[in-house]
Amino acid sequence: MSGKIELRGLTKIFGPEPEMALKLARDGLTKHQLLDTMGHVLALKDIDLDIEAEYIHVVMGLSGSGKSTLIRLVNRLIEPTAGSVTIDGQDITKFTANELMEFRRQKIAMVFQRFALFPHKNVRDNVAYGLEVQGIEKKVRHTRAQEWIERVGLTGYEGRVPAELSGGMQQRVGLARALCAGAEILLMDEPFGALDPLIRCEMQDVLLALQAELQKTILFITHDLDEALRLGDRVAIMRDGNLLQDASPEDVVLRPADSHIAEFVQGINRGRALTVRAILSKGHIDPHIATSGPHIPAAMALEDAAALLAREGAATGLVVGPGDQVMGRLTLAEITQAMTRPAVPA
Amino acid sequence: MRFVSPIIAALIVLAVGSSAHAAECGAVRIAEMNWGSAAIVANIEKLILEKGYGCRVDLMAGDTVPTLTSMAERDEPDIAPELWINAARDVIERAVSEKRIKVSNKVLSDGGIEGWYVPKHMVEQHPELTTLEAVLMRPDLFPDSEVRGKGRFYTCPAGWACQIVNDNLIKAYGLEKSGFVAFDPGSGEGLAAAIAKAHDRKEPFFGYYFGPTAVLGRYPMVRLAGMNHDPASWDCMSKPNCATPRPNMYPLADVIGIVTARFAESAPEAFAFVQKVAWPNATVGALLAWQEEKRATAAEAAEHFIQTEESIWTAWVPDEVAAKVRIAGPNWVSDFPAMDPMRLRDLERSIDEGYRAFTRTYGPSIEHLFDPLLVLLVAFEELLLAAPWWLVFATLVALVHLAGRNWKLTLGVALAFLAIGYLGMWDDTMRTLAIISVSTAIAIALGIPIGVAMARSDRLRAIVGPLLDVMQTLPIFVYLIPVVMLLGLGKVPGMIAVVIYSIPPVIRLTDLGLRLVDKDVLEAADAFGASWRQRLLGVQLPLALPNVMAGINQTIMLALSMVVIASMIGVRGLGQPVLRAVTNQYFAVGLFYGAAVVALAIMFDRTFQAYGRRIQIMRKS
Repeated sequence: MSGKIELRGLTKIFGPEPEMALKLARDGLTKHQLLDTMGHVLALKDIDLDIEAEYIHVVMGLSGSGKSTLIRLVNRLIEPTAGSVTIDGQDITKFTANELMEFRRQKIAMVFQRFALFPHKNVRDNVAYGLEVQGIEKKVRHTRAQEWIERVGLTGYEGRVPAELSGGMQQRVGLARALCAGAEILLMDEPFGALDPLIRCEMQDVLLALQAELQKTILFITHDLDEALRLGDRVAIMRDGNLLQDASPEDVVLRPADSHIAEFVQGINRGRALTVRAILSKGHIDPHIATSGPHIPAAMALEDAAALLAREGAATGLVVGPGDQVMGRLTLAEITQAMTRPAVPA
Repeated sequence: MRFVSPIIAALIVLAVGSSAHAAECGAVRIAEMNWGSAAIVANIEKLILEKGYGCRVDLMAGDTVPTLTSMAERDEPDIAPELWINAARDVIERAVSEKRIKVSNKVLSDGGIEGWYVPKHMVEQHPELTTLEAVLMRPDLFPDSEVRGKGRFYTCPAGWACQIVNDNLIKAYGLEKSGFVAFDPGSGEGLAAAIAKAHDRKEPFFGYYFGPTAVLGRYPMVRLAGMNHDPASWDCMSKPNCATPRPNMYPLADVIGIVTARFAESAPEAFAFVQKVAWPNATVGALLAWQEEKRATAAEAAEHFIQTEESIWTAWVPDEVAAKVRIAGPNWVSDFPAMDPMRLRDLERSIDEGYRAFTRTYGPSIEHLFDPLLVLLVAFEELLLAAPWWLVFATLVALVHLAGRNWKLTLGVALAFLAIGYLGMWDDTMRTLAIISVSTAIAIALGIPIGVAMARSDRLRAIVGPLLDVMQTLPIFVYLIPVVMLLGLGKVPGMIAVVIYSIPPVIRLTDLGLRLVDKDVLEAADAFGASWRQRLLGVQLPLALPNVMAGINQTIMLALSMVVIASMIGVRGLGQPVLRAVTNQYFAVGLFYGAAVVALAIMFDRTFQAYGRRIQIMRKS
């Protein structure tokens, strides 16, 4: 499987004369000036971003940051004003209408914020929609849809229509619909934004479990930093159509690129967002402390690690990698310190 | 209003004060009948009464029986200047004997002529066609486009007294045996249009007409020989259900003027004038021809008559009145200084001639274009009429039940159809059902694609939207005229009129429904690579369906309401009896057939709504 996405100089301007507005933007007009003088909206400006295959890449930003525009440029639901979108070496902005249709059918699927399920189709037909447009015969697509319905835990609801399902269940349908199409790339546009916190958390677990097995290339849009840090292998942060930082979740938390991000990071739950590995990499290894203690997996969240040490009554734990090899040591004090929020940089 | 009314009152006082005679004669209402000679004579009497006697004259549009009834029952209007006695002998005799009205004058001094005619161009081609006998031998020369293998005889429009006589004559002369079917042109205008079209295109025509009229003045027609008036059997011939119809022909008709008894008493001078009004057919024919050529209104023709035929009308009035009529000029204060009427008429005539040239050149080929439609409609109608009633009944009830799945509805429809059949309206209902079904199918087949195109293109919407407004608000008769000129009378033009009138809702609501479909859902379809077709048929239209169904429903309702009007151009069905009921004031007939239209409407409406609801529910489970 593959699905590497490269965005280069991607720019989108909404308005009647985007070409002219583009020239002005390149001459240095800001988003606000462009809006005031020409009535054009600069939604995205010169975005360069690499989305590695088989990882979850989260794009985080507040409303108006351009993140929804960005995701729609990747499958060309919106035409870019300038720049390129290259997927596995092919520039999709050069695709003809037919090539684009074929590309959407085979290679890329999408999950929507407000679910966008077909209200006149039942769960089975919704899930099978991608196969239906591919022209796959009914029996085959129903069998394959059934597998995905089971995977997302909707067995027994095949014949229901979306209006009869709760929000969380509807988004499970949305997820199954995207997966059932068999595409390598999954575009997820704030998929859990409309769900209440408990269900959102549950859906994140569903997604992580599926991803552990499927290794799709997932471009995930959210306005929730906690969600971004929890899900993302990498997190890109956007504001006003610009890309501010593109880094690992740990780097975003520990080394925010600017004060705007730092402000964001302020409010997050570090104990949950940071893993043991993240603070270990900073080199907090003191050779004088004890060499024994409970094993802490490197991928464990700080709050879980703290709880583990407290439960064992140990002051020090050994950080171990996937093969149980010792990577280093951490004290409870170091962990709790890393969990507390730093002072806001001025 | 309270503020304005004193001003109006003051104006009225001024107007009255300026004309001293007004008080003497008072207000007079004259019936202006809907045929040429009567309309002109009404305007002549109006002119003379206004200028010579100082009356305030209102013209009231009228037709023989309604006008007579109104005069006898309600003393309104005061004068009916031209009535053909044959058309309403009983009513006139009764009202005279009850002393409600007075026969004042014999307005056509020569009497009116009625008869069966063929155009002269046919006689030139087939010299033998001057007699009824010869015509009856050749039904193939007068083919009926709607009844294959038969000849068409244009009888009188429903409601005219001559329709009854014609029915009896048809039996007496064995028209059906000779292979002719009677065709009801729906209205006097329809009959005249059929004759005009036959002359324009050198097409056949065989039917009833009467004179003096502009039609007979303008188009050379041959009155068929071999039919003679027989007073002995005439009484029976003029009654419906005459037991022993015998060969006969219309006598020279007495054409009279009548006034209400009240008018005769209250305005003796004016009455004395009306009693003298009479003019010969030659004058009437010449004046009608002048009117036709100049495209003048009846009022202008009356003016022309006053100017050119002084010897005739001065005999009707005392000298001092004649002098007043002569000197009165146009009143620039009260009359709008309009464009010279004759120049306006030239403009209208050139437009008409252009269109007529178009219909002459392309009419026949356009008519052929619609042949498949006609075949379809005729076949469907024949199927409904020829099939045993219980089979049609069972099929209809079953269809209603399948669509609606609602026992109450099914039962109601079944009862309604039984009542329709029992009250003798089955055949007309089937005819209406046929034309409604085909028209609606056409409207849907055209309307949905147009609506889809409109939903896709704002520019198209900006063009089509106002066009639909025009289609819905333009008086129906206005577009009936070119359609009839192009295609003549009958089912196809009727169907086109119905489609034009009823198509807007399905177009509008398809457009609206498609535009209302959730943008998110359409984006999802796009994101999964749906083609344009997959998106439209699989997502957009199904989601727009409730609106589309509402549009179809309204289209059917409009089509049904159009049925009555379409009957004026010869569409058979429930509309013709309604039309006849209106012209003859048959209250019960109107009520029954009106109720049948309503029953059909309810059946279509409820069935479609139930069907619409049912597919909504089906989706949910």
